[in-house]
Amino acid sequence: MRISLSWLSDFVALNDTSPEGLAKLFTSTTAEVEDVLRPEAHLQHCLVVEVRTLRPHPQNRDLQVAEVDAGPAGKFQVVCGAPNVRSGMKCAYAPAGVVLPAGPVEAKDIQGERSSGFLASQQELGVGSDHSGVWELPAAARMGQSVRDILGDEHVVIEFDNKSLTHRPDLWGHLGVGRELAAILRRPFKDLYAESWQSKWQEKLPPHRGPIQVSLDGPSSCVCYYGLSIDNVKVAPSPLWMQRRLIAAGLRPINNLVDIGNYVMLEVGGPVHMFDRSQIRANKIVVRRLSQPSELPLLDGTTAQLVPGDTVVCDAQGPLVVGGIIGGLSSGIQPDTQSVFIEAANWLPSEIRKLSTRLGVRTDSSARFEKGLDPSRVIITVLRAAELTLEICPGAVVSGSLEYAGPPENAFPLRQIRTSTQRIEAALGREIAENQIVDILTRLGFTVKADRSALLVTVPSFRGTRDFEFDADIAEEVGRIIGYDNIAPKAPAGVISPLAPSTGLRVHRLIRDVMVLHGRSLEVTTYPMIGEDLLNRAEWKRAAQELELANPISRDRDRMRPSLIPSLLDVCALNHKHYSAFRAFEIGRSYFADPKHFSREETHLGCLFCDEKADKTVALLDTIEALFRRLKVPIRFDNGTSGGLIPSEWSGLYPDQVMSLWSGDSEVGVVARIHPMLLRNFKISAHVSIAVVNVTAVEELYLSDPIRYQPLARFPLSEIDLTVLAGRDQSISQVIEVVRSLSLAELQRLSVLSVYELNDHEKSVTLRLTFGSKEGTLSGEELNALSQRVITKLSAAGHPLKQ
Amino acid sequence: MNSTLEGISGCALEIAERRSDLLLLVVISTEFSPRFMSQSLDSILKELSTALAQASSEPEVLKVKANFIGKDGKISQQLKLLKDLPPDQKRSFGAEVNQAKTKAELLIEERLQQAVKARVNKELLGGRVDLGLRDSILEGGLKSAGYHPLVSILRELEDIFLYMGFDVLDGPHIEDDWHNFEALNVSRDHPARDMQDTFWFHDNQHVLRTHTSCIQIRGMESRKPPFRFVGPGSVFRCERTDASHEMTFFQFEGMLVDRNISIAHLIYFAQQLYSSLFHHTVEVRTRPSYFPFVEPGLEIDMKCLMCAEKGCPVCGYSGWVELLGAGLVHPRVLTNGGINPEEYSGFAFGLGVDRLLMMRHGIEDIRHLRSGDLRFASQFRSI
Repeated sequence: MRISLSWLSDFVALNDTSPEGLAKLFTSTTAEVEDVLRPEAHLQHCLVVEVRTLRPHPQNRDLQVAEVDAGPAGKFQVVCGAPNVRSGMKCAYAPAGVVLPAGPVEAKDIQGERSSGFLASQQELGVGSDHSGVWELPAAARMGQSVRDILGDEHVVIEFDNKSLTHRPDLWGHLGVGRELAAILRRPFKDLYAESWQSKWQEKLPPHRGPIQVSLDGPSSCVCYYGLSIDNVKVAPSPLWMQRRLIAAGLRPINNLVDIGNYVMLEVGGPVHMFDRSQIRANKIVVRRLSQPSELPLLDGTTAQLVPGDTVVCDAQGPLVVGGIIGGLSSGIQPDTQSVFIEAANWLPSEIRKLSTRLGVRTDSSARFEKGLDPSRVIITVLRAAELTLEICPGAVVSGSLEYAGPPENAFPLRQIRTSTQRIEAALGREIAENQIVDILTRLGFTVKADRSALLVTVPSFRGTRDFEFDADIAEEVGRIIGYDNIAPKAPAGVISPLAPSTGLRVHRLIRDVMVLHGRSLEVTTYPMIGEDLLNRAEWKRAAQELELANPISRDRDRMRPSLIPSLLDVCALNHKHYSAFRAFEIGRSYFADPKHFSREETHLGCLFCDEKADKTVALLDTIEALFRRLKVPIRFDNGTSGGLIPSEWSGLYPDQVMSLWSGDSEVGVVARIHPMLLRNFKISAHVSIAVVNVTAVEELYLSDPIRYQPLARFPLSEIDLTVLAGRDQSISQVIEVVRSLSLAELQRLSVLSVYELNDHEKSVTLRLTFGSKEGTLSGEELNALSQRVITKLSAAGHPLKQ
Repeated sequence: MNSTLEGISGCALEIAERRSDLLLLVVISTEFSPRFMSQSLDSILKELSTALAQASSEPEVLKVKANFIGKDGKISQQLKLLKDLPPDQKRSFGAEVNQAKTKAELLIEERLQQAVKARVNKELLGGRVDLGLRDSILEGGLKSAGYHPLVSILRELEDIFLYMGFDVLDGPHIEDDWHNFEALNVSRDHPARDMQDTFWFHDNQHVLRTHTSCIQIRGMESRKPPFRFVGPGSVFRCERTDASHEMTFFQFEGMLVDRNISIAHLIYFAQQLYSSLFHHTVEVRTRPSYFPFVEPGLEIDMKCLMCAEKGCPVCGYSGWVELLGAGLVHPRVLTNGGINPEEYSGFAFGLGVDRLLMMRHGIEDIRHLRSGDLRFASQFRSI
């Protein structure tokens, strides 16, 4: 939202307050000012000149060479192509070095003739839309005077961040901003369109009904509707002052009638629609909801696909305007328009928003209405538009009285909020005198009735449409005017009870610590959204139902990932270009469609070891084993996987190189070596192993049990080494499992001393069994019996003693 | 034979350097020493020193040992002289010889230890390793390990609030319309929905959460006031990415609900947050702002640390960094969380973590943070 300060001074005296000072003031009390702009700064350096002599350009028939006189500033030669240049005329000269809206002016030779600057059109100077020739200045203009001095002022603009005005529909026009500033600066607000102005206008209008009949046909998004007919208008450029104000506020001047509508919107905040009255068939305006689908070509060149229920402004035959959003092409102002019908109405914000979103049409009008404009001020909008039309179009006359359709005027009651000085003080956390509160609210347009302990605050109509229901809203008004920087920070009273960090937090931190300090890996964070291409490269089996975004930014990130593994492989491919070996991990989420709750999220740890030289799966297993020890969650390893975290049929699995981690009946993790053929999809030629741990499940298992101390062995332990045979491709863990299955109480420790491959199909495994008892030293017979049980069991399981 | 007195005194002084009490004893004993015999002991010890100095290996030292204090060693032979002495001199001379023998033993043992050490060291040298060849200099890929900088800064933020009694919680990333919008006082047709570009799912009911403010609702659902918690987490915006815009970033939410909570309390915690984070008092500015779920709503900016208010890209040439949106919890939001706004009030705030991190480390492009590029991550290594 761009506010011109010279326009603003129609409503409040700005005196000598600097634009930057005002911007700071607004930012600290009302809403964020993003920038202070000086779109007309160059006018100070553009000079009034008189064309002295004019001769044809010797090389170019379309150009002329002019000698211009800038009085005390000297004489200059310029080359110009404008058709309207004649000697003796006064015009605006832009000398070299001046920066115009289109760019800097340079002195140059144009086909052999020196041009030290140029004679500018209104458009080139950014003061109007005319570009038919150079801007002719009044004959009385003094040579050498700056163009700015002729105009009398310069538009300096402050630009609000629109988002910060979402809750302040009253600030979407210069009048509202002027009223706000007057309250902040404690200066009088020049209420140009107060009730006296309105009644003066009402009296001036003809008593008889106008040519257009207005009606609301049933409930629709229209709250109320005003219309006024004016005859004898003529389409022409609007006056320069109006064009300059529109440009300063960021709009492009079109013609006088269209400009008047825009001007009124930027001034009083209410959008206006101008109909060419000759296009209103049967002189009837009906606002209603559509009962049948309809197409309407719009002013912006597109066509709206309207459906039953949409609120439209119609004539006798059909829709002319999408109410509150945009006009139709056919009924708008034409170059030959002679009579107009001015519409000013009010629309339900939620419906405007819904419809403009569906149509994909966002206009200055819809942006204002969806914020909730004050219905009781629509009359100002229509009367101000009429006033400007009569002022700008000589000969224009109002035809008939003001048409109105809607509830009676008192149907918009003012909101009242009960609060108290104590409640405001409690919210802000400092003392404030009651009379100061009353003063602040009154200045902002509220009416305050103090009644013993309470304050009864009446909200002005222009603030009552949005975000004003609670006494917290009143506290905000007081707080921002006092200035939040004037509130001293205070620690809350009250007891702080000691708090144990949540299990989730502890578990996440423990995992990170182990992965960094034991796993020696680097943490990454990747996007939880991935695309089909990555899933295909990872050969990841697609879920029956995927969580796809309705409005993705790109195909690469159009759905939620079902696993961290594709993301990790992507990370692997990226870093493989730079490093021959690396380790990375991420704690992130995986997402699953859920028939009952729509979606389900699990937090996973994903870890990746990549090494060109050697496989690191065992190192990764060591780290994961250490991780669970650190988490104090007992687990057991199992060959293969149940498919819980990695589909057991996943083509990315290296044959027979996957281990799952179990806690009780649930698979909490899996460690897998990745198949080289899958890695080819990612152009990775290295050994890659991946671990995934279901952190969500681990959080539930984490107990942080204190370790129970075991008395140290009081009797000596005995070691017995056994060498048995095993299949060459058999895992050691299978051999160990056989011994463990005996659950020998005396077996204190079991470790592997050595493994030797004997031939193509056999290897020898030397186990060290450490026996001991709490009761006493084990005798030779006892030890013998124990080892015999182990030997028998191993032998039965296909692991006889090596002879 | 050299001067006995000088010789003995010299020897005594040498010992006295270590044992000052011996000095007196030795000096007194010389009064009674027979000149000819003392001269001999003295020269033997000198001779021993010379012999030891020339013996470098263990066998050489052992040979010297045999020559002096062995059975027929030079000192042992002195003892044999005892029997020829008159009784009055026997005692004093005996003591002298024994003393010389002790001294000799000490010298020999010391030399022997040196010889052993020299031999062992020589052997060890063969098995030494090059201490310059450390893992950090060896080729073999990326060796560094560490936490992601975003996670590190979140941990710092969490800790600041853990110490002040705040719990830490999170909620789902895929939120329903109620938790992300409706409960936060943003109805379906509220223009504030434009303030954030939202990723929607096809059912038109679920979104990727656009802010961590949903954690407020989640937190209230499972708590009874008074309570205080923070909610760090990922949020998502449907925005084209560039150097300063991301579709995914971290926010850090905070909420405190109790009786009579005011703006003054909010500003207190904001100051605690900033000064704990930057380890010194940071200048803040508080100004009104609009968020549908707070009332009053405000933003607490921090004076830019990069440029000292001169203006730089980090602060958008304004001198102030907008990090914290905050306010008192809107009465409707409290009601939606099952809390009676007449009885309790609270404050809430939200902080953009990525921006804070970028400012701290001078990171120019937000896209590095989620690139998975270890050339970036390894710069923040812990080990």
